[in-house]
Amino acid sequence: MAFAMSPSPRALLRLIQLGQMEDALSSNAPWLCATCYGCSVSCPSGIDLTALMYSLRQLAMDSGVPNESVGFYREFVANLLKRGSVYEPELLLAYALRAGLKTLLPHVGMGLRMARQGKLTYRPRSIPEAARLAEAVASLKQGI
Amino acid sequence: MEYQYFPGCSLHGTAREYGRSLQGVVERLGIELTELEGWSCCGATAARSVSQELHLLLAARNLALAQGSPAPLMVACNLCYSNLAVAAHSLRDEALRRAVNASLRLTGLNYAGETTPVHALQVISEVGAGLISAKVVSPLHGLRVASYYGCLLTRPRTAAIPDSNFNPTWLDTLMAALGAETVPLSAKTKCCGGPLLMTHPEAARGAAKRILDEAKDLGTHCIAVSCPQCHLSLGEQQSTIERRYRVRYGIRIAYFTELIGQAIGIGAIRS
Repeated sequence: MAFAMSPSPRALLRLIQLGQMEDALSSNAPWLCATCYGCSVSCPSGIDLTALMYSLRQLAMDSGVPNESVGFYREFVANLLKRGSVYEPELLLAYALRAGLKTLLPHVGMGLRMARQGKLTYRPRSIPEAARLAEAVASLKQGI
Repeated sequence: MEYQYFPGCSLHGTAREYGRSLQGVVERLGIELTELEGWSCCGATAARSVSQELHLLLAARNLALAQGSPAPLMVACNLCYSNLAVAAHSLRDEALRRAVNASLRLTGLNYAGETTPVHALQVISEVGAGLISAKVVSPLHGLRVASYYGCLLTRPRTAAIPDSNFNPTWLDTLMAALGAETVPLSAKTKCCGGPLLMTHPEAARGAAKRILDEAKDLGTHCIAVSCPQCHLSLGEQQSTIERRYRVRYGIRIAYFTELIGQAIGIGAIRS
């Protein structure tokens, strides 16, 4: 997805090398990475750029650097931990309430087509151990 | 042969035709699937975006659930496969595993570090194109099929199916065995943009468009996929991309198991 990134992955790495972490963390580039490992397997210096992009996202989230993508990932994890499985309609609604209904506009057509094809789930799947999984997740910060 | 089956959230939901056709095909090939009891979501790209430990814990739980049985763990979705395989590789490190197990213990589980997930494409490819071709009753003659692997099946090297990183051929071989005319798609391992569909729809569609453009230039009738996210990007998105960019593709996007099912006469659901 380098075509959509500014700064480019190379420029982003340079920022980090120069110690300009604030600029690196507030840039949109890590959030535009589709985590496809394309650069990771091509990089002649053996840098795992996908792992790096994930690390930058984690650092940005930990230090509270605002970014419009953060909300979706947080809502996804919250939804996952509720039942142990993600329930897509509920996730999309929660995200829309957080980020504004306009975020759903580009997807209305697709949603309607999928509903017509009977691809939407109307009953969420839930595992009995979901509460204990959420407990284990809550313990992570102290554990590692 | 028996496998424990990890369907992931999609195969019970938006990719149910993949789930149904996969079950039908493996049954016909003499493979028995038992759904992994109590499996939880792999975390997609969200969990690892939030925290590395969360990514590892979610994977460790599923890998631990699978470790009691001698049957290997088969994963259908490329993203689930990647998350589980990448984490399984990381969790071979004993110190890291101990740290993750300290939290995992609260769920009553302990991961021993020995589960190796395999992807459905690998399971079916190992049956052999020859055996599958012998079962074909309605060959896909005249159908120009491009095999699209997406990104996560062949990368990174530490967590990939043992096919080539840059020019994998397993899916092409299967499609040829069904009688299809295979299309040499150079974008076969390029990213479909799927993980960005919600947060950056324009960029995601740009990535999908490049794959559809090449497929169209090559006169492709159908793109075979093995991932719900790729199916969404190239299939469910296709008419949106057509309108947005004023192009016309009309390319069928099908799970590879739907095409196998169609050729060996299972009457799989068409997408």
